[in-house]
Amino acid sequence: MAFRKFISIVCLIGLLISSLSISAYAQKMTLTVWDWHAPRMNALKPKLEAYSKLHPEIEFNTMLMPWDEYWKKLLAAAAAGQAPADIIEFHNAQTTRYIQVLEPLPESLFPLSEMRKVYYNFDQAFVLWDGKVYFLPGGLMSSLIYYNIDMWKKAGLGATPKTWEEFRQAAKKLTKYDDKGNVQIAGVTFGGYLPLIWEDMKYQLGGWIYTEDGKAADSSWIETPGIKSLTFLRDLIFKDKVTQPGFLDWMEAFGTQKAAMVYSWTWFTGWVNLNYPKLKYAVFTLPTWTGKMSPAVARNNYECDYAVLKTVPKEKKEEAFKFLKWLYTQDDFLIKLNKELGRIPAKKSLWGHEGIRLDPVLRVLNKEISYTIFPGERPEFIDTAGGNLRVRVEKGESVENCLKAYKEEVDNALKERPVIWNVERKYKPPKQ
Amino acid sequence: MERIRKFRSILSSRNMLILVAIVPTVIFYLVFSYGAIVYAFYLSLHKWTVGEPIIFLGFANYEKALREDPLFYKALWNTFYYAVVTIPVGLALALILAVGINGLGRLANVFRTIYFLPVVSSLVAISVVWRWLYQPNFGLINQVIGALGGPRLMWLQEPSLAMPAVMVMAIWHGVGYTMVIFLAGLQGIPQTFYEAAMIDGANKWQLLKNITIPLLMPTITFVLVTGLIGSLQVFTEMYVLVGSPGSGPLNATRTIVVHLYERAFTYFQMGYASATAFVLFAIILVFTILQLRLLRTRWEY
Repeated sequence: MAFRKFISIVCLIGLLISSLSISAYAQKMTLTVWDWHAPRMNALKPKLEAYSKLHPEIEFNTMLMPWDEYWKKLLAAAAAGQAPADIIEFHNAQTTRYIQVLEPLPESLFPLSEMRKVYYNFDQAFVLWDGKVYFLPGGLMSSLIYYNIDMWKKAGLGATPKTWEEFRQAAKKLTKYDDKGNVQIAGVTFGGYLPLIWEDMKYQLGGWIYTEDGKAADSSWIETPGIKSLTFLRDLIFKDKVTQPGFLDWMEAFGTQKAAMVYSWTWFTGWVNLNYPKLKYAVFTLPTWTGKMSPAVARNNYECDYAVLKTVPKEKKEEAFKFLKWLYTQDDFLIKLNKELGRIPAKKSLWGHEGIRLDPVLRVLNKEISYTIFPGERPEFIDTAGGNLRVRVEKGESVENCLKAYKEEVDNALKERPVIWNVERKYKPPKQ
Repeated sequence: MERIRKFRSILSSRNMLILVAIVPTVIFYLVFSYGAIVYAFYLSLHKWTVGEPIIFLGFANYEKALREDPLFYKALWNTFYYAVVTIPVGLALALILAVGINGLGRLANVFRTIYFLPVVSSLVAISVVWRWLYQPNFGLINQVIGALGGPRLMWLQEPSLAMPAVMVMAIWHGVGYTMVIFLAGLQGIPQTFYEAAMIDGANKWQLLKNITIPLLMPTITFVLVTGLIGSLQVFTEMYVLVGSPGSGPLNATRTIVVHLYERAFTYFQMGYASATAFVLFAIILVFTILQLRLLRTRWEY
């Protein structure tokens, strides 16, 4: 009898425990985070774990996928009213197309007045044309010249160039040829980034990307700023022969020491450190026509990070925003993330942090960043047309023809899909 | 009563078993193939940029493709250029290889495997190797050309060379498959025909011209029809060798499917992309019917 009683009690306790655990499980919420960039996800993961410890009812599921797939899946799912992810990494090149599927940040958790105080130049990059904020600020990225320290020393070069002319001379000294005159080591190579360096040089001469209404490419493309800049770049290839049409891909060329200098955006730091950890390199700010940074040095992309989809159920949306609010108080994460991505953090208070101040690339980027222009959205079709510009230049077509064709292509694309978020003309150079 | 009995007999018959076996496949095809085709046709009559409302346009997308889009014609031209070169060259090469290998006896299996290897290799991996072969400064092809005193060629960067470069890789990749089909066809030709012809004094060329090729006509027709359909739908070769979306330098490798893909998945113009797909479907249909009629075997042995 006593044994039966004992068994019954054990069963009852077991039942009670299992029902309790079921109810606890039922209360758990899983938030799915999507990204296309593994290093960023790796930086985020410890914070996801930390948050789950603080809030055991919240669990995270992460998913990485390639850039192309990412946007296709996201849009298809959102169009079908689904929420494949609760928190997504966002890129501002996709703003016009995707804004309709994003949930604005709730004012209660992210008051505008506070955001303006905390983040650098917040309104320009994050308050959109409807007055709402849809994604959280990341950091500022721009272009620099990366150079190989050993090759630099071997060529007997000293101070880094301040003007394009000095840059040309340095590139010539760094170039090595084989006995047939083919470039074996390029003094500088920009490959697919030719349209980007051209765009920066054009900004230095007062040119813009778009017309004021964002419905066409600015006339400066085919006027002096555009022509002078492309002539310089074309001469580097054909007159100075510091690189060669169809030379190695610039990233590979720099990593394998087949290029002494490359023009790149600062995300390259992470790539080169990962793939060629032994390479000794340094960076310098983009040269200018006059040697002075004013009126502008280059374009920047004031990158955003996370956003929440509109189609996410209400309770999950609330939790996702709460998590993001917490995440953005984690300065160690913000520093790690921005260092990894080669960005100056959006959060102004971090600019003086030694992680940023002493970083060999970011401290150089910091010098030019206030002279860089954020244009707002820059759709991908500009890069597609830019690919054709490069082909035309490398084919040896005249500068005028190359630019006319480039502008025509971009004009046609902008006619179909004008850039609504066009803020480049709000740029004001810092007072000297 | 009679009806019920009939129904029962149907239910219990072999037909029922067959029906049960094929229903899942039929449903799968109806939903994922035919359903998608019907929906694509519906979309082709609409303007739909993903995420935006669907607007009925009638045949405006077809009109846009055929009248207003210069890139469509560029893509059409490139597609035919690709098909016209790769199909006959690939077919001739495969036939030569098959005839050669067929006479090798024991060694035939070894060579068949060697030539078939590229077919079973990943096109992405192959394209990585070919990209290096084509690299202007350090690639093997230019090294050889340079050693022979030839010029430095920009295989994938120069618009006039990009398509031939893709074609060479595509032919190399696909020739093994066609060769195996020809080998199967060759083995179906009775040896007695050759023996009889040889007694009559026929030489090797006459054997090929009068026996091998005529008797291979059904195989050639099959290879041509499937080759044409495949060539008109070519995409992967461009996408992996010259890079996304595959349009190449100054659109030199932009084919219809590359164009369609770019419209659909870069610009998200699903309606226009669907219309382009149906234009391609019509072209393939017309050419396939033409081919089948022209190549119909008119003789029997």
